[in-house]
Amino acid sequence: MNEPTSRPTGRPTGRPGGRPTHGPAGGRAPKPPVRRTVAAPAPRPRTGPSTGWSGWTDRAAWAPRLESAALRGTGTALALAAAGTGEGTLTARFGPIGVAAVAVGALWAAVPAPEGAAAHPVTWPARLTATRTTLLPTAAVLFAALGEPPLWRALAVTVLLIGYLLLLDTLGPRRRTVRPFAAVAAAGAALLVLPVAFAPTAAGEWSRPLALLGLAAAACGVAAALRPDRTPDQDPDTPTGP
Amino acid sequence: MNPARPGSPASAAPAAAAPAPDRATLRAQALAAARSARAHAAGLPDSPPPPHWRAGEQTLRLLTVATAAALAALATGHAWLLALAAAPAVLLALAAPGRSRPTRLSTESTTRPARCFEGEPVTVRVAVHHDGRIGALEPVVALGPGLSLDALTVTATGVDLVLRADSWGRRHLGVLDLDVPDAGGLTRRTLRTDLGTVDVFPVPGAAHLTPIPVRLPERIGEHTTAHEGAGVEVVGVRPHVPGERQRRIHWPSTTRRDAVQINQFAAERAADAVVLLDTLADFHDATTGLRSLDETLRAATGLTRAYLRRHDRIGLVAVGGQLRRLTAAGGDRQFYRMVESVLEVRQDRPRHGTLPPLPLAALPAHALVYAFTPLADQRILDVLGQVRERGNPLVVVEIPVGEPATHPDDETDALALRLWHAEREAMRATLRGRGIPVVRHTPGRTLDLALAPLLRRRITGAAR
Repeated sequence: MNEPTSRPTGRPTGRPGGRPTHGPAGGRAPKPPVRRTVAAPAPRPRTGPSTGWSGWTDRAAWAPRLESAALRGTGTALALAAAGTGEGTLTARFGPIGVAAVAVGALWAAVPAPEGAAAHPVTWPARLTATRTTLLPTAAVLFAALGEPPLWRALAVTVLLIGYLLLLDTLGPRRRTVRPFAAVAAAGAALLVLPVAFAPTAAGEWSRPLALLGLAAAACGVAAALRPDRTPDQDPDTPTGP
Repeated sequence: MNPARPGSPASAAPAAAAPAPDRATLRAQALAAARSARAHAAGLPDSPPPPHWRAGEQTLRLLTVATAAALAALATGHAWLLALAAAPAVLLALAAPGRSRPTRLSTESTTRPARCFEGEPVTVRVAVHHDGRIGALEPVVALGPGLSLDALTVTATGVDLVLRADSWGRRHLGVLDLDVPDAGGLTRRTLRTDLGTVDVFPVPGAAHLTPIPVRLPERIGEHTTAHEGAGVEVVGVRPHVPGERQRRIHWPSTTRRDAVQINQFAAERAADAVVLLDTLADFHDATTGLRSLDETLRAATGLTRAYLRRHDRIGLVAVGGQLRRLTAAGGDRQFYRMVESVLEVRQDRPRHGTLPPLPLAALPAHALVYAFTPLADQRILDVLGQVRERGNPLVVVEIPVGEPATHPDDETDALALRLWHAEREAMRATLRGRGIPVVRHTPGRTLDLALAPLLRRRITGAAR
């Protein structure tokens, strides 16, 4: 069916005034219609173990599951430690059912939404799903604030919170590299505050305004660190096309 | 996403030369591909991205946790909760970009090639220019219609895309939203880049038969006529006339008749042809997935190449949206001129009411007109009538559009389908009744099968 002569061109490829030069040489050979999926996503890599011993020994196949298990384990431990036991805690108020609900919720919320958070979630369930890794540590903080935990439980909640936040940055969809110095500094700051907070000092009426001032100073420090040092001097519409 | 489509040449070629990307890179590219698929399903974005740096997901998380812990400490009076606020606050402060955050950000896209045939890969390179430190780029591609994404590779300096157009046309490649985080990942900014357009040429259908009309112009060509001339095909012998060349003597008949006989040769002329495209509508066949407009131009370009290869002149008229015409001419460049003149027919607004009359210059005298039409709109009969009134020989090449979907048990559907068939058969009968041959082209098969019956005799035009 193909024609014997070559296609009528001899011009260079892609030149603005030129002609396409990669066409089939002998015209369009008869072929069955081809249907392509428009913008088909890449085939998902295998995440589970393959058949046979090679699947059990394949580290790449097990790594996503291990990462997910680490996030779920840390997140659930954080939520359960924050829910705690004793008077005033979530466990004391809602009983075993509350603990079970916290555990189930933490298991779901500890892992980021698959394929990253949606770009612009519209519905409330979609927003909840997109921000669930933020909701979990925030809820853990609020659970922990309900009771008066002993030092060991406060220490556990603090360590688990720092660990979960660092794990999320390292194993989350964006895969940021957390510098060891930053992790040590964050843990050091928290462990510095903790013994001071449990120190047997009497709190007076001035304590809360003083704490507020301290918090305001800390917030100003963080804001100053985040503020850009250089003034952008470009037009917002700088992005250019061809 | 690289390789995104197993077996595709664009994705397989770099894999052999470059080292295999690590798992994190593959994960980031798969994530970008998934986002791009969602963006493509949602269509091209209609609102511009925010032009400023904004807080990222990690920043909002740390800020939320720190604020909640601080407020809880103030509300409950539990000082130990400040320890929960201290850690995220320190992480935030240490990840601050400071002076390393770029103040100038721009993108530059390069598309190669700017012209291609259907199914060929188009490579788009989007480079990011900045004056600071940035993190890993996160692209989201919203492709234009009729395009597919074959490969997406994210590098430290930009993004490489391999796109593929499945059908011809002047295709808008789409837009690329590039999320650029700062080095610490706390803030990010989105740069939108228009990927530009590319001219996708149709792959011509296979055809090499060139039926000719009865009357050919007085121009030397490759088609043998019934008249005596200076060609190479012997059509008879006649007695010698003084002054003729001796090498044309036909010796067998000269010996037999005992008188000098001379070979008679047929004249060879070039033909003029005009391709008339019916672009009144573009029908999608749900069974085969083909579009009538795609097949119309593929078949027409196959026929065009066949005539150009025989050094004939061929022109083009497209009716439907905007009336487009190209004067008949020869040479390889005419093929590209014809295709480029109709690349934008998909963007034409559909024309309602009667069609404008054909311009006189569009149809040379006695030019053979091939009308490629799905025979689905009655208005094309008026256009064909105009061609016939001018005396041009005319051939109608029917492009199938597929049958409308019907429910097998529904009597009304069955009756409607019969009416649909009857209406189309009536149009064919009308044309054949006027002496116009109607041939049916099957997509995927050579056009020669449809045109072969026309070689039995030369095509006649109507008397003026």
